[in-house]
Amino acid sequence: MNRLISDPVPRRRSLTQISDLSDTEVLELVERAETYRQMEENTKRFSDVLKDFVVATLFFEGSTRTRLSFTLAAERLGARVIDLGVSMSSVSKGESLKDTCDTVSALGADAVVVRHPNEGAPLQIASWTNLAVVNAGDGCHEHPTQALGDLFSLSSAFGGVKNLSAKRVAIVGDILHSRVARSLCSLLGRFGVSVVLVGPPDMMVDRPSALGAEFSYDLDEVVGEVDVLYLLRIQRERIRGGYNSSIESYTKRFQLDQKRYQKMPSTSIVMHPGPVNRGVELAVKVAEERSLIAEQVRNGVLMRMAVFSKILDTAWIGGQPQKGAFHG
Amino acid sequence: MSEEKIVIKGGLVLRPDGLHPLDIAIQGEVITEVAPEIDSTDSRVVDAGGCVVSTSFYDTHTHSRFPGDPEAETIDNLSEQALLGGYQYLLAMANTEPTIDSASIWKAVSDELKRAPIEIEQAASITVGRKGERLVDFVSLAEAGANFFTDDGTGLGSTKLMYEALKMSDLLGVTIGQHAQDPFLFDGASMNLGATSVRLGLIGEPEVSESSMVARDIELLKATGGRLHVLHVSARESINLIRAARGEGLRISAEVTPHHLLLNDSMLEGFDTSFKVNPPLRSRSTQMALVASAIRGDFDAVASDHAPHPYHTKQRPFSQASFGMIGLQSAFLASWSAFLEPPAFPPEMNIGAEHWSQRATTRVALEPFELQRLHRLLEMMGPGAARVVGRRIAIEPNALASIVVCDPTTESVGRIDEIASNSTNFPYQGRNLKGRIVAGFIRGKEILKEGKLWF
Ligand SMILES: [Zn+2]
Repeated sequence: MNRLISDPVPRRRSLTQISDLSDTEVLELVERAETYRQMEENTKRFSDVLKDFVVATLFFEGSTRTRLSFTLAAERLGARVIDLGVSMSSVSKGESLKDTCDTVSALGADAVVVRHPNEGAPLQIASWTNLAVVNAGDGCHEHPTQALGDLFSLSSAFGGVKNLSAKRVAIVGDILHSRVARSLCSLLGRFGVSVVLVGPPDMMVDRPSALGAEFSYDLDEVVGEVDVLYLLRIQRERIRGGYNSSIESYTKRFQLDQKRYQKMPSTSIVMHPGPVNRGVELAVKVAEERSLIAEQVRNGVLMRMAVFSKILDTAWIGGQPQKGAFHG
Repeated sequence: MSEEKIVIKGGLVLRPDGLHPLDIAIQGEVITEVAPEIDSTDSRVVDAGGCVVSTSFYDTHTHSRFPGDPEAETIDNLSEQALLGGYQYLLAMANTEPTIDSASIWKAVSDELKRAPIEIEQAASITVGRKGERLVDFVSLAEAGANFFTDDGTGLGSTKLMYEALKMSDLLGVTIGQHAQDPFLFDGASMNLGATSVRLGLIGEPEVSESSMVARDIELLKATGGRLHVLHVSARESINLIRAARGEGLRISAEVTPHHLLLNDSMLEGFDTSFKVNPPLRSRSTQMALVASAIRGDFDAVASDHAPHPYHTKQRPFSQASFGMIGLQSAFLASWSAFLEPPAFPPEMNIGAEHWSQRATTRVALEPFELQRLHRLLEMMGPGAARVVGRRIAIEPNALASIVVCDPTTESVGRIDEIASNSTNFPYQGRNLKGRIVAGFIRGKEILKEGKLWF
């Protein structure tokens, strides 16, 4: 008889949400990413610890940037990457997710990178198959590798994860539909960062405390006391039912403009998961030393390398790949 | 021809005022005697030691999927689950394919349902096609025999149509069952609005979506007369509203489901679609409030809201999976497990020396307060649920011998392969459950023995 959730069997390690990782594992990922950065700067070469591994990308929702970041990360470590283009129509027709997973398993992939418009889909795939699943963004739920890459960027900027304690990060934008905000809250809170979510009421979650965060409807009230201002992209495509506020009223109250930029502490930093909508969430030239936006893209690749080597349980920088030995 | 005489001995028997150490004699289809020690010479004895003996259960909320979806359930499978679960009667909702929205469809379906070994009463819809646009022909449906009208599956959003339906209810003496849920507040939701939905990024439905419609319906009931049954109550404020309305003497009844008593929205953390149901599982604190409220006696019935779905409609991303759980066969076990969860309340601690439940503990190994709760639950599953659909059942001489024997102390682990459904959307897989349905009689006929079907 069919089962919705199969009986517990030893599974491959997956990263479907931040809570899949312990604090120690997060710190280890940051350390791995840092090692890869040094390899990149010193030799521009990485060892092929993922040789013999096949990584499949399964994007049910278009995002060339994210897909390329994962592809580059896997290829740098020697993996073969296959892109399984999934038509949007199969999703909208409600085609069984399980059928798609069975195809991926049959192709012999070791890991699958999943981007899906529906919350929880990567987690469901991980529970129905024996694939190592990496969530590349699922609806409004999570985008764990983005948050981990951002933690790595923050750690580099502030001289280590331990220095992030008591730092104040404001995340500004469409919190309600933001998987990045959810992953960041879940991750940063663990290392003592105080997070304040900022946006208009119709873009705010109902219970910010459930994300361990404070909230404000007024950016001007928050902007003078932040260490980090994390601007979210205003994603029109994620909006269900439409906003009450117009883009004009949004920018008037929540855009980082010259006036607000000057109110920010002089040591504070601006971040954005990209790509920036110039003139919407950001309308000022941020000084290079105060912007992590370019760094976030580069660090995203390094962190994804760390994630692959971690979940596929290989050595990180050399030695024999131990294909077939999995834990978790 | 003299029929075999059966005596059910040694159990605690459901009476209006409590569970009492009594024996029951059955002959033919009826109960002939209920007394402390019945002479069992020349009778077959059914040992009910350690068990409670109740009227067989009534379910006021079943999705039979007949006609329309044999892949999800058949009448045979449904009946088997009902018998294994201790039921003698099911009220089948009208959201079938086609909708039960005319006298001819109602008659044809009711005739088919007569072949089941239990009674399955067919409800009619309130609006044509359950579209919420136009009332069904109440008069011809009522004349054909329909007693219960509901658009269950969706709330009837139109205040005007609900007003008209309640007037029809008053005129014809039929009951209107409301799936109270504001269609606008529910729009797009796949779970309860709360800390879990915020973390999961899923659209949540607030409890006020239900209670605002309950409040509206009560106002309409005051204005029109009629009889209102509130299906699957899941919001705390609904309870207060229903209590107040009952206090005012309005003809209102309410049911609660086993899953809203035993489960809560934190169980959705793993995106397991078995837990997707409408109305959604609420927060842990609302769950506890529903249990306390059920124990206190705020609900007339526990109703299964048994909702089978084919496997493939559940194996989808959470927001696209179908709503509903199977839960008929497990209804007593799930509810009883929930009833045992809260510690004794102060009123339950102060039972006087002469209280029935202290004497009753000599037959069943439960604390007095647990026996009181068990009495409440059996009342809700049997006589209380029967009253919702206008019936009176009791364990008393000359009543039909539809009887269920339950062992309240056995524990087991929920297993889908022991459930007789075609569907697998079972939320108690792997969960510890308390209680067991041991034996059952329908109109004097022994149909369940040692927990197995027997006929
Ligand atoms: Zn319903």
